[in-house]
Amino acid sequence: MGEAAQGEPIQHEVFSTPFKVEAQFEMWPTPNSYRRYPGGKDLPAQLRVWRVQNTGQQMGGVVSSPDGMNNSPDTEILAPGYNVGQQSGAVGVGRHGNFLQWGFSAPPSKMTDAGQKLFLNCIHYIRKFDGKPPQTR
Amino acid sequence: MRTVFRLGAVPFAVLLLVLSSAGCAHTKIAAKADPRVLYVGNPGSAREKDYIAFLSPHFPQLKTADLAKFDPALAKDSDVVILDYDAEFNAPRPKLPPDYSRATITVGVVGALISSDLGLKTGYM
Repeated sequence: MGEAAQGEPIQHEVFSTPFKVEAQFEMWPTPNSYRRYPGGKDLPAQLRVWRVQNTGQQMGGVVSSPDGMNNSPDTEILAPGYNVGQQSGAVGVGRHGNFLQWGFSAPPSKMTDAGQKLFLNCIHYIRKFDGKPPQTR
Repeated sequence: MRTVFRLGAVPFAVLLLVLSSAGCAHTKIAAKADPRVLYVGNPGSAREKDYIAFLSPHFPQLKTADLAKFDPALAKDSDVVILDYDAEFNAPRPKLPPDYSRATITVGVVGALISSDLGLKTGYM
């Protein structure tokens, strides 16, 4: 995965509680890998992203597959991750039951202000799912 | 004037007492609301120090542990566990039981690999 989340932050408490996450948007080139997936050929030349970290590296971290994330009762895509190897919409930050996967690689000192606030909010958010393991695997 | 002052002083003192008590109560509620966080990573690493410096001001009850020796029992007094490491594919991967239910953040590649081991949809792609 790259250094940014892709698209507009969704309307979700993880972007506002307790800290308001203020994304700073940039336009980045659409990765070639996106073109291989359904709908990829129709994507514009550039995509709207917002930086989560600043490591100076194009690669690092990991995305998860979005397949099956939207049809399970206890999964959520919280932020798609801009990536150069997989598909548009792959999961940068997501939840399954009591687990929240933060796919970005940087330590906090190299996160942006928005990235730091989102990480802190994730800690508060996932606490709500303590004792609630995944219903499906 | 004197009577007014005395009458006013009593409610004012009561008000101060109430506000003071309310302040204490608020402080206790706020302290209780802070999740007790267990950061599990590579002890002594620069990455662990980075996380500690960042998390400590927000979570006063922060504790740390070694990912290579992580056992779910270590998390019994914590509200949220963070599983992280300063390596990716060669990082330790603790085996968590299927019924592990502590609120947990998995970070980066090692987090995704641990998630894959558990059959989670947030696993490595």
